[in-house]
Amino acid sequence: MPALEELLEFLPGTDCGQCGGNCREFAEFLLKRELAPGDCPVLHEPDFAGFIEALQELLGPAPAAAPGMSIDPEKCNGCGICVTMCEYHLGNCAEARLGRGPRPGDQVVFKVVNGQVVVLRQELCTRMIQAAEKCNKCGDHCPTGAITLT
Amino acid sequence: MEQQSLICTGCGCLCDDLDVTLSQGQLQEVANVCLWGLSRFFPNKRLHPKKERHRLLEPLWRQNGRLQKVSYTKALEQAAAILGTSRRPLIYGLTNTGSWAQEAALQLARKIKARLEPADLAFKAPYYHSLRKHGLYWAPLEVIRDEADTVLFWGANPLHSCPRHLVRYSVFARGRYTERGVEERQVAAVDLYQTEMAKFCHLLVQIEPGQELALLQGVGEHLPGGSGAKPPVKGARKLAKLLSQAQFGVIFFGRGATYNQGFGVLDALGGLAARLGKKQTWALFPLSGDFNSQGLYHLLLNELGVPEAPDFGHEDGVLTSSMPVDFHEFDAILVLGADLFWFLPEDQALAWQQRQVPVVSLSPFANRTTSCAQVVLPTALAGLEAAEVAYRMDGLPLVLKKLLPTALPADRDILLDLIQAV
Amino acid sequence: MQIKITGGRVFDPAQGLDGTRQDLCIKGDRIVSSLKKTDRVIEAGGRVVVPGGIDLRGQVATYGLNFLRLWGGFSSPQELGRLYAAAGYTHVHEPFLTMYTAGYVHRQLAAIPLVDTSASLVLNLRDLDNYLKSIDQLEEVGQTVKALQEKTRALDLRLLEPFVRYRQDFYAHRTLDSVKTMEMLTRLALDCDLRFTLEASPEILELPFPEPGLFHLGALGRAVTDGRLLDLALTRLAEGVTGDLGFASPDAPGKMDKKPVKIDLGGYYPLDLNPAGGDLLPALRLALAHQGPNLAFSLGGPVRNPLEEIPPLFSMLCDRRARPLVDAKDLPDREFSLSDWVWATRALPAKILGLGDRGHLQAGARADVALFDLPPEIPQASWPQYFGRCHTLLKAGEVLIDNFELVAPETPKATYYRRTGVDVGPLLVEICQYRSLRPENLWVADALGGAWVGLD
Repeated sequence: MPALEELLEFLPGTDCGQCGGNCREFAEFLLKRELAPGDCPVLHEPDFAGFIEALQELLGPAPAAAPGMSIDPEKCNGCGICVTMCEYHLGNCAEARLGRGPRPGDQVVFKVVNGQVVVLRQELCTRMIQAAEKCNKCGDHCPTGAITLT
Repeated sequence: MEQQSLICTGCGCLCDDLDVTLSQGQLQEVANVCLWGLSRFFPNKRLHPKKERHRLLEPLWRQNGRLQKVSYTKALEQAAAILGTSRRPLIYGLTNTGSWAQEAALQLARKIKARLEPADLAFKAPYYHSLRKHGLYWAPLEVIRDEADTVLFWGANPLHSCPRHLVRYSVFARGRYTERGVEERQVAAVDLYQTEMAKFCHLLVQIEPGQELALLQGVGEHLPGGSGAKPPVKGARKLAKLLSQAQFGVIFFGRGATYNQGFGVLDALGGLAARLGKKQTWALFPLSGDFNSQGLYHLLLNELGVPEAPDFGHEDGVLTSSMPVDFHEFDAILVLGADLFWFLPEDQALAWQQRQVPVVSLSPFANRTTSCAQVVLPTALAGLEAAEVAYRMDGLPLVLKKLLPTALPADRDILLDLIQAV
Repeated sequence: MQIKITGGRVFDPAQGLDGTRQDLCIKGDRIVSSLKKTDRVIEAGGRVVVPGGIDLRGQVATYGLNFLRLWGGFSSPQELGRLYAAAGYTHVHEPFLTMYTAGYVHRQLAAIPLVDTSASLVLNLRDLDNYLKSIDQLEEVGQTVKALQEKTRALDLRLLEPFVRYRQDFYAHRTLDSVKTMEMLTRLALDCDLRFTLEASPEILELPFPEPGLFHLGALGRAVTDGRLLDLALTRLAEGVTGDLGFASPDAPGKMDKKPVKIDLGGYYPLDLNPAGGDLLPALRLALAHQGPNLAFSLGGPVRNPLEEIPPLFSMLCDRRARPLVDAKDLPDREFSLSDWVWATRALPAKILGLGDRGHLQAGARADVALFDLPPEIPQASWPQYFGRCHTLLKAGEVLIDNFELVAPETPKATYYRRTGVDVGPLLVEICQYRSLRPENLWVADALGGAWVGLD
């Protein structure tokens, strides 16, 4: 999942209200996948050619396509054990592997934001590229049982 | 929209890898922060589903039984009057304030001849007592994450006191010589309950209250050179085996170690670490929940040579005490960097209010103490709205930045004003 | 301020002044050859005039030292500053600062008022092991060390363990013995213009020093425990390695059993902050036996109270009757002259630390001047009682102590470090990756110490 401000870079930034809110709110809906990039009327104007595609790329494939990982926000306390244990991070994100939080631009499957773990790039998850049952590290090590893998 | 790196003041871990997103001087998002730390930054976020904290923005003053808004000058005057006319003032808390504020508080304590009471004295005093008796092997968390292969948590559940400790320093961290992280470490815990720690601990010894010393005795008997007698508490034999196989071990103890016979338990833990330390490397390490508890004891050791509560109110010099304060002695109290009334048992808090002892409270948030106070002075948040210095739980100081503008004074500035005014 | 110190007997071995009656002129913070007008005249008749003292190895801010206060007897940082000044010192150099304890050490140093401070960066060679082994990478190692030195704001470089050994058997293949390490260090020092202080140990004394001018041996007193080691130390000093004495204070008689206080800084051995009581004789024997200019004075352990600890050692050096009776008879019969003392506590330490404008009183030097009340007729045996506490102390032209009284308690102090101008390179990034802190927080922030003075 991209950061909010990354999405904002590809929105008009005029807060015109045509979508029913301002650009930030629109971006929040994008993140929640309750709206799609094409729902912004302004982006269809020629000045913003390519922006819809860029947003689609940023948002990635809809998570519904991924093998289920569900995070219970009531249980997650943001300890970050999953981020460090993640098999993808082990080889691809030194910060996370060594116990520090990933840096802003790092390509990571998930990270802790506002005290809760959130999935950023589910397509990077080992379960997506290999057999789903291969990796359960985040769920296995979650002390509060907040992550369930199905 | 702007991104900044920030050091977390949620607990003694002082995680330095937080990335905050700011927009128009407002905090939008904090990455890499645990739920515990988050409550330091978002006053209105729920720390616990059922609790909410209100940010204090204006000085308050109790008149006719009600807290009313008042100017900073008036509130300061009132606070200075309360503390200045007191015969026996107490300064309480300070473990959740920056080092500069702690230094100012010590200065104020000297000036008004107060007793200065660290909020976690009951936790730390037994530890220092134990060090005096058994000596010390100390390692910064940097060395621990690099080398520790056995970790014991005693009466500590880091998931509830300093959640990222496990990942950054003690269990899951992949250090220089522990590149496989948790797979290279033996982890044990001793607790009264089955906690979440069970998920990754190789051994969780659950004991009944009061069995601490018996367990430690049992462990001693099953270490090499012990009698091997049948241990009085279940788990002692396994724990002894796990501990004796370490190359580099650390005993992290939390507040739970000091709830019951704290001095005895810490003495025994110190003895255990010293005994294990003869053959291997073993460190005894307090898991400070408050973000700058270490800074306060560091200051006290530096200035007074004693990591206990100093009392400047005696004619024959500074007395220090390792026993928690008897509140009945005092007729005025300044609370900062702690929520005194949250920790006080109900009857004590009630007794306090009946005696009508005036309380001056410095706090960024509304809490139980501010609601009982005579004067409330709101402060800027250290590490977000005011620059400060704080010591991580291993005693390494870090500089906390000022990121956001605020009209509120830092607690250190208020203390310096108080020193002038009393 | 223009100050003239008149009528004193000046001891300045750098200029060959050995009690010469000479006026000293000070303009601003510098010593000058003459003054047109004077704002103040300091009458120094019957006094000796020497440069301000420099403690080459003042263990006052080591990480974990604070814990020693649990057992009492240590001055607070505030007191330490005053005591050092009272003893005639203007600079204290902490020997042990590491990559991640730098912030701690600097904050402690900043808490010491009046006297200037600095610290040695202790290198952990394990961080550099594979790079040290290959000659082509030495340049990169040198740059890394320099970058680290600037980032941790250290004045010089120190090694506690000039070898690479691991506590983990798994890494045994990466070890490096001390002979090989010395060879590489020498090369490194030559190629990259570095100088290393090695904490002395019997093992180190055995090593050859092909380039003696690039090395300094710290705290020799604890290492020269027998006659053979003493001879080795004397040979090294004669070859041109500089050293400091490291007087190890003996335990006070009747003291309770000593508790171990060990600080693990990630080396092969932990740093022992409370070693078993030392023996003064080895250092004393070494000091008296060494005839050359290469031996500086220092204390061998954490400094409790310089004003109590230094004068008795001064007596022992300068007065044979003050030496410990037991075993003292086979000590060399030499007695230190005042010039010897000034050399060992001022001129040589300044040279070793690279503080070119200290330790002497030539025109252009910083005006750090100590005056001691020592009438010429006083016999050598009574020197110490006159020489313990200084009568007048000037630091950078400011009068700190006047007539034994501290008159300027608010005088600012500074922490000195070497500005190498080298930025963080890939090797340092690699070393830092194992740290829990992001590099930007690992390096010493301005607010943790100071006021900073970077030397080029």
